[in-house]
Amino acid sequence: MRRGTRDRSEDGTDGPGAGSGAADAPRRRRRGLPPALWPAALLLALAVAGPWLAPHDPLATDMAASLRPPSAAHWFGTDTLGRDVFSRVLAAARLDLAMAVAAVALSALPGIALGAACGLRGGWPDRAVGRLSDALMAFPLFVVALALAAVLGNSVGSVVLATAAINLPFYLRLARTEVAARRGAAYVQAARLAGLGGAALLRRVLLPNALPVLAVQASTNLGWAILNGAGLCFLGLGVRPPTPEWGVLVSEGAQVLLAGQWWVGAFPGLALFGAVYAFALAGDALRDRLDPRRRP
Amino acid sequence: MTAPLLRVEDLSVRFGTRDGAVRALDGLSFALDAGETLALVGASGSGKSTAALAVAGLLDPAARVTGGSIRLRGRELRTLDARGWQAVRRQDLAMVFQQPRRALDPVRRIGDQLADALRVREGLRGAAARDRAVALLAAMGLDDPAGRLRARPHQLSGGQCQRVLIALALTGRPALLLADEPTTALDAATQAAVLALISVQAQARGMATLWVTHDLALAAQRADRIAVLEHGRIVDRLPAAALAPDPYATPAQGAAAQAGWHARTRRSWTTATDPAPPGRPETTGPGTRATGKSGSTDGSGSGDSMDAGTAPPLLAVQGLRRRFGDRAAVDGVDFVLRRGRALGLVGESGAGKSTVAALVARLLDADGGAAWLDGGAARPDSRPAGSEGIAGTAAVSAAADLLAVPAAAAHRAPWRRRVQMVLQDPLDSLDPSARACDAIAQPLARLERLRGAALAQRVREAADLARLPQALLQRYPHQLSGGQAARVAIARAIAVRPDLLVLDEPTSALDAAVQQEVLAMLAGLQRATGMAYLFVSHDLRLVRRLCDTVLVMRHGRIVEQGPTDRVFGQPAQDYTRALLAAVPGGLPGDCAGPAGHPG
Repeated sequence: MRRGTRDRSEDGTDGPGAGSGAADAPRRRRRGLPPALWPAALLLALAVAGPWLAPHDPLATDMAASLRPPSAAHWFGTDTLGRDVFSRVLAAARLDLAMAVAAVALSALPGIALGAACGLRGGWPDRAVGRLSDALMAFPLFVVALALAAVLGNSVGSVVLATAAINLPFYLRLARTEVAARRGAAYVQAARLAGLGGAALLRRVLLPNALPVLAVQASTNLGWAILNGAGLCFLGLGVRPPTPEWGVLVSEGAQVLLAGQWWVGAFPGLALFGAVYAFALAGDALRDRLDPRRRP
Repeated sequence: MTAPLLRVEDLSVRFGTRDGAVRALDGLSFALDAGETLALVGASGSGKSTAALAVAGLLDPAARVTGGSIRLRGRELRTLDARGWQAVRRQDLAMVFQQPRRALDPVRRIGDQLADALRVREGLRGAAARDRAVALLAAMGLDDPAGRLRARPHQLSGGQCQRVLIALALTGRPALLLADEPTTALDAATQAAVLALISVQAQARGMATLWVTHDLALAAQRADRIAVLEHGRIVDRLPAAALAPDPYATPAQGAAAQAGWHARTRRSWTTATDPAPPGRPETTGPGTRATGKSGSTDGSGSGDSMDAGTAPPLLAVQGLRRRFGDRAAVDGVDFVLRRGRALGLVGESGAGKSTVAALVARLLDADGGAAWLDGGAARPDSRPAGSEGIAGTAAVSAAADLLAVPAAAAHRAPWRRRVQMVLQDPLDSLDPSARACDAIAQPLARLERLRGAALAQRVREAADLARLPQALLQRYPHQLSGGQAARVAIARAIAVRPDLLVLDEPTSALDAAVQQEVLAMLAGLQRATGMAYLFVSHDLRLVRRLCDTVLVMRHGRIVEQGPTDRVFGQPAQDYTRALLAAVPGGLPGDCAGPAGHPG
């Protein structure tokens, strides 16, 4: 059994501490980014500034220094062609992040728009779109990527499109559920009384309230998108050597792993791990920030 | 002398808020003997609910008990751990909460929830549990108890949910029943039935009952003793007999007793039986009440005929019908509402009042009938459409067929600005992600296309009209109390200066003090703006204060209608009489019989 409603007094100062202090009291705004967002911010900064921060040219080969373990000169060691692994990992951050952001944007924006419209409309259009989206979800990533590569040519673009296509049904379904759950709410009825309907209702009332959930999804999804993209590149799609990309780097490292040169593949792998983790943390922090109930 | 069942001594509870500690309870002491009924009465914020929750161990995590003791059957509750609390709650305690729907799990069947309680508190399982559950529900007065076991809370009415809650509370053999405003959310007839049920069951089982309520009349009816709380401490203790009117007293004695009652308990938050607030014409005797603007008492707001020579009524409804599944929620409703008048719609829960309100405001589609705005009975006048004035003057307004557009497209209708509604739960009707000022600005921006400074100005005006302090405009709904949210909801509805305002139980979630203020504000608003009200309420006292005409509904049909004074003073139908008799404390000045005594 859940508790009944709380007693609220007229001027809002009594009753359970539900954050209902006087409006004139200064709000305790947190300065700067919350700690949960630091890893993601760091990642972004590294991605942007990567090429300038790299101590060596990511593409410069040096056969004499091939397969050196990590040392002062090469923090992450060198790979089979003598390239500095650290510089390559750093340079790859840019490409991976760009692919992930593009894929998420391409899947989230249409997915949310279409899902929200279906959620509000209901009826047979909702069901039809739902079934189409289910069909899309049934395709494995690799199959879609191969098909797109065959049609569009093997490029970064087709990898991004494949990732976006796989992810779209999740946004569609989530947006649809969030909107459908709220469409009978009293404040939505009040918005109708105020003259809002259709697209305006979605834009101003339903989506802002669904935003925290969608933002968390998008942020976690960024992590998955990185993995998807890196996975496809690992398999040889999209990016060709010598372009540094984490998946490709892991693939290069896998070839020498059994010979004992662990650093070639381990550090790119750790970078992937770090990126996914950073975005998961960011998702949590975003949700906290966006939830209106936690606002001062 | 035996020790009391429950002894609370010097209890202090503190809440940590951002602005420092708030003392919810400040040295509260009372005792309750076995089988006795004690009512804790007080305004919202006085700490009465906190006291009940403290006894049940259900205080908010932000609350800390900073002193005192609570002893139940001699056992100190403050020092209990989780296991200890489990044992206490299983064996000795039962609680009934205020909002029955919210206190039941919405996704599970009633039968499953009852089975849980029976398993834990009576050790019954399987068929034995099922039979006992059926017996319990039958004892609670629910029809078709076996069928109800399979139902989910949303399929039951508020009153039925509350009966289920009481059944849950009565499993096992609790020695103490805590009732936290269990009937505030219910209409008067159901209230009376539920209260009687609790009293009867408590007496039959020898349970002690701790009532928490803001309704002094109710407390006088049901309790043995009354303790009045203010600011977390008890400021007055009375035996209830001091307040109950004597059925054998002469009218003079009765009036003197009433006066004595008011003198003794004059507090700002007592119920609508208080004298009218300033601004409303005083009653001059039983049954009379100066009616609103035009002062006519010919019942021109009732029934079918239009006065000869006057403008068509603002709202004319004929044969309105709506079914939900195989149930006729509204079954042929006709009424007429004139400009500047207030029409009350009363009846018990399930009568179809809220459905009629939603149909008129066009949030729902009707299955049949007609509703005309400023129009005649059957055909639209041939006045040009679109002549509705922005400033909401009563000048040339087009006749409009409200049912011409489906509800899904009603937001675009040209008459949308003229018909507005205040929904039932004020906190739910505000967008949780928008500030109060944005909520009020929304209809203005949308329906009148205002922007910038003009918009801000109108928002301020609306807030002033609704007596909402400007400082509250920047708050989010979760930072507002129920009364403040009600005012925001009303400000938002009146901001566009509608001709017709539909109010669906706008004060049922509020306590008596706030109710008074909101009512006074609504009455003043009507005088100032000439808006017509369609006021749906289960509380006859409020309808009496505000409305000059009243419709009594039952099972989707109008049972009786006419001027409020006539209908409440000399009801023609038995059902109306039953409704009137169920009002706790009675309506002041009516002749429906001795007030306040349970049947």
